[in-house]
Amino acid sequence: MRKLGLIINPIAGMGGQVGLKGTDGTEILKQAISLGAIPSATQKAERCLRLLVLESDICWLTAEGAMGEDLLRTFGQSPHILYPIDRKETTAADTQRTAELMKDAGVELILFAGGDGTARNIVAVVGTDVPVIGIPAGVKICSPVFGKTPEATGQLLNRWLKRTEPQTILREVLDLDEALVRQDRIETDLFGYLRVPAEPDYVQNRKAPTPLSERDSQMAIALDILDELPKDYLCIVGPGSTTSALLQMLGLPMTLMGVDVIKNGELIAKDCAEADLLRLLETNPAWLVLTPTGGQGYLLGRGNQQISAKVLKRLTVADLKIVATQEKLISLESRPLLIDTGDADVDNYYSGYYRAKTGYHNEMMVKVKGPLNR
Amino acid sequence: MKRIKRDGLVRQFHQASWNEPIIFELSQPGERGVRVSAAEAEVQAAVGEVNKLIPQHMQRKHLNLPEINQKRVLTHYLRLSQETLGGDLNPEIGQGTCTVKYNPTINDKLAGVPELAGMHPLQNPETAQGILEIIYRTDLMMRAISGLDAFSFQPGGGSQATMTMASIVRMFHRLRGEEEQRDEVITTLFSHPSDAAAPALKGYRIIHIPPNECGLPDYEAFRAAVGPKTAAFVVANPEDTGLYNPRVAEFTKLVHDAGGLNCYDQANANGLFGVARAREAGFDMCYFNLHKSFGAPHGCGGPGCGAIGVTAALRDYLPVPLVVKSESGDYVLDEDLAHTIGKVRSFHGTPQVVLKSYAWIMSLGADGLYEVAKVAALNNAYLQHQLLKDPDIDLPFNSSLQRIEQVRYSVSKLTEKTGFSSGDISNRMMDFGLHIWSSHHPYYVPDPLTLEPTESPSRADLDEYAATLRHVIRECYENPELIRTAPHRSTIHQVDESNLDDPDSWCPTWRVYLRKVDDKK
Repeated sequence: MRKLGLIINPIAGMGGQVGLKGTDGTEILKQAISLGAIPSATQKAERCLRLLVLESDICWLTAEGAMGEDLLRTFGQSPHILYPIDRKETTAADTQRTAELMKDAGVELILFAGGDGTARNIVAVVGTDVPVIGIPAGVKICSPVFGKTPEATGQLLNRWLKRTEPQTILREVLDLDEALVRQDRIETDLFGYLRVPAEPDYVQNRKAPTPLSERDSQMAIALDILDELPKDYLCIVGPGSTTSALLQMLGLPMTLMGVDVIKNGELIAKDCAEADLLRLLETNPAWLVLTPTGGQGYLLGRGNQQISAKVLKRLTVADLKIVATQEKLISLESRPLLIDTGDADVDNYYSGYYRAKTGYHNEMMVKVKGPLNR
Repeated sequence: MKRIKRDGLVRQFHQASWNEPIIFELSQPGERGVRVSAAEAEVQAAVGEVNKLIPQHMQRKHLNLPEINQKRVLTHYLRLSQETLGGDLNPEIGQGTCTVKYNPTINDKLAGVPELAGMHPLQNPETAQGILEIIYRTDLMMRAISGLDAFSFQPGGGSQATMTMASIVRMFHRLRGEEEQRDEVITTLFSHPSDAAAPALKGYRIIHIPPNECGLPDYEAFRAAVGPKTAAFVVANPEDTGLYNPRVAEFTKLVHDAGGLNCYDQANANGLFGVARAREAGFDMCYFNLHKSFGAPHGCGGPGCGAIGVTAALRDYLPVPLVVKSESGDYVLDEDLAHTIGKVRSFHGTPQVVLKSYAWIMSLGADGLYEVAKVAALNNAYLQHQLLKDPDIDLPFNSSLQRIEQVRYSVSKLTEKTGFSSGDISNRMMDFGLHIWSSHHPYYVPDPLTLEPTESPSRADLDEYAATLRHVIRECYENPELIRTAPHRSTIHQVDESNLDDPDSWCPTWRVYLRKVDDKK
């Protein structure tokens, strides 16, 4: 039997219906309900499951009631209930616990209906251990871990489940700070990476099926950097799967979410803080290798705050090497990459056109500019 | 399964499916097509020992070739022929960027006449005056069409022609002592991928220019990219979107001012005959795919011709030999080009393709060529008008800009509503004998369909195509199961695409397949 997990976050999307920009936290949920919001995530999950071919060899694992059981039963399924819920209202902790149990039960994939907040809850316990795909049902859908629509998610799974060797790719979990959004400030941050099915036609933010797989492209970029990096230069490697390919290429341990430093092929500092970087830069010339986040395309100031304005003042424009697969850049639709270090002078200094490395001896022109809100 | 009433224009179609093995799998040890009789004694005496005639390095003890009788070979290839579609069977409107037009069969007959088919490329040029004259005259016509000054017909296709351009660029800078310094080639995201790949193979670093909000190459990004390291700018115009960059002369001037060369990918020139030329746009060289715009068949990756033209200043860099006319009026081979890059293909390339294009051009004349461009653009505009009536088909970027000879559409609205992508639509179109090829790389436009009618289809053909596409879109809503499992009436149904992007799993030949199977063991 193939085991699949289904998690529905029943309250996802309710805040958006009544103009609350999100549904994070019980207070906001109460406010949303009082304003007349009704649950819609189950409906969106239903739109997905309607297109999903429910083969008889699939065993569904889910949580009790509205978090998955009820919907699966309407489709004639007899799901295995991993997580009982005896309350009417569900919380983020319920999502996390269910996802954790699914991981332990060895599911092939977790299908969830929710938004960025739900993805954030899942990545916190699942990490990159289990493939995950989201049915877009929340208010905030910034993370490229969702199908384009509920229907597209269903078709995506149909294809993926049929593959003899289904592939996955790492995608960022991004989330907006809802409190700031309610003040009309758009601020996303990076909360981790999920492994999502590699079905380029269907994932949020259009993807380009490149002749090379994403992994091969990332390795090609890493080779280009390593071939060009001058001897005795530090290579400060920012967070991300594209940048971490550099360390992998050298057989070094990587920190997907942190900043590592290599020199002459050796790892000399791991998961650095601002102070570590400042100290290293006192005596060494350096290249700074960064990749933008998906969604808004932040290069600096989101998920890599340790590379602060102070650190950047020790470097020059020529030291900044932007790396990204062509697919990632295309998903940003020619929008500029953003920097928001909190220091307008530094942001201005680093603004302008760059050559982003997209492969071996392959580059694409990209524009970098200060934050949108300033 | 719900049946949807078809528009009368939507065709009933079913393709043959023979489940035919690969020819190597049909091999039976000892089976023969022809048993060659021993030569007569006089012949044997005259020739001597045959093995001694074959150079040592070309001799093989074992030939890994299939052993099959004549009947089975004939059956095999007839079955395969029934399992293909092509421009002679259906309107190839869905092969956008490929310019698949009608290739007059009479020109194929001409290329097959024994006087040409029986020639040897090494025979004395005095005995090959006819075909040399045709090559020479085609060169003159290409000059008029492009505004450039000399053409070589040696490259066998577009990518080889781009490779030839990159070789000329490298030789040009080498002779000026700037080869080391100039190691970058700039292209655009919507130019053909070979415009990046061929210079990359020549060792250049490739810089892509993304499109601006109108879908045209971003001039500011381009200006930031051009500099003392620029060896060349290689670009298509119109690009694969069908959009023509009206500022192209400003782009080429920037490159010239920085000391680089401008190379024009005119593989598809179908919408520009008599309208715009490479010279006036500031290009130093260009190439035409005779098997696209000039009426010769594509040949499934077989012999085509990427006719490459250059300005007078670059004539001496062209591949050798060129066909020239001597003072006495004879056509002779000029091997004596001072800076020639050498050969990119043996002998003269594919003269049969040059002959077909010569015949095609002569049947039309200059006015006829202009008419080709006008009708190709008119057909494209008509199809666009018909398709945009469907709310699920969009024109990405600035919709008021004219698309010249092809359009890259988007069906992203349909994908959002039904979950079906342009790939699913392509699968279902096969059930009606119509292609939508996946020539949309890179997938910048979401859920793309690239359609190029050319001048060949009639209004009825265009209406059939549009009606079929609309029918398939309707099926996406009303009968999703039918789309999800399509194609149903085509030779091959759905293919498992796992690892399609992994070169380790590719087997382009039987020999590679055997080797990889062995490696896996």
